[in-house]
Amino acid sequence: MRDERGSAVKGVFNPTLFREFSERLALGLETNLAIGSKRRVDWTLLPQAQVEWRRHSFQMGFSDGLWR
Amino acid sequence: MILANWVGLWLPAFESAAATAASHPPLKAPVAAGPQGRVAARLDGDHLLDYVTGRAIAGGRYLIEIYLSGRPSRTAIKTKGVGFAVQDVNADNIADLLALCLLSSISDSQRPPIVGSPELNVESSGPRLERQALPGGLCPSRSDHDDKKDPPAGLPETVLAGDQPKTRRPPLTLEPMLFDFMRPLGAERGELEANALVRPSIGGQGATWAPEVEFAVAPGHTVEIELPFEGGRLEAFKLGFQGTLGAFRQNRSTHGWQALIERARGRRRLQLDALHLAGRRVGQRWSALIMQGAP
Repeated sequence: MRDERGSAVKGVFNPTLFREFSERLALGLETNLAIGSKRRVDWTLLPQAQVEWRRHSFQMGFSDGLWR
Repeated sequence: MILANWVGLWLPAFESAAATAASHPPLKAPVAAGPQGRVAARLDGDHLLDYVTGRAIAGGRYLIEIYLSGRPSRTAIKTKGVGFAVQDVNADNIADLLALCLLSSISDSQRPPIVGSPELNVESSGPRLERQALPGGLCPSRSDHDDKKDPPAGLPETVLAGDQPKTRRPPLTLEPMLFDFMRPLGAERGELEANALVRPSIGGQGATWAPEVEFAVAPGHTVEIELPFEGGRLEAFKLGFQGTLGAFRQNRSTHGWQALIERARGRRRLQLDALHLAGRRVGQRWSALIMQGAP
């Protein structure tokens, strides 16, 4: 798990949808909802691509509000 | 912010299976003994193709039997030329097993047919079997041992689809980035993965990166060690465990759990995170994952 929020986070909900375009390429859309101690909800949208090359896998994602 | 994740993957189980497959002798051309044909099959995720036999039966027809890895372990087609078989395994009015047989010649009905070819078209949502040559003319009847998975004696080794590795593919092999799995749910024992999430430096802050190693200690059970760094400084130590609770809906859905213990640098207090993981494959291309829990 890569969640690096502080201990103020009381709950997380992380749904992700993937679409495989071939055996080597998949695109995904990951959403992360973090519920804080004062019912504050932060959310992050993380589009990402996963590429397989030989026996290696590379994932790249972009987000402007990661781990707010 | 751009994130990059590199995964180096070693799968001993797959390596050994591939080596086994490569060690088999090259495909032998079957001796023409009767009509020739092809079988195309589409199987659900719970079945793999073992092999196909063919023999002549009464009325100038042929009985093509397709043997599978799961129950039902066999489906049959009786045909003179073109035939098909459809089976609804789960009684949900959805066809789970589809097989189509095409015999190109029926001139000599007394001889068993040669069914299949190296170009045999087999489609399955499970692992793909890439080489099946099925000289049914060399195959005796299977009526005396329908439930056995071993091929009949005398069947050339090279005709068996079963000589390909039967590794059941986990329902979901893709992983999110922000929350990642410790190998996919249902991982085989011995699977090892090393990866690192890198967040490049933007706006003057040092780049953060978190190398981790994941290892499946038992089927479906994995441990992980992660070391988050900021620049060259170690920020925390993470130890994680993941378990698979099971797969269902014809191996298209799965769920499990994840627990992580983290100790930040300079703090004595340990933080425990617990998560439930659920995934569902929808069709051949789409899959969805949900991770929820309480840090």
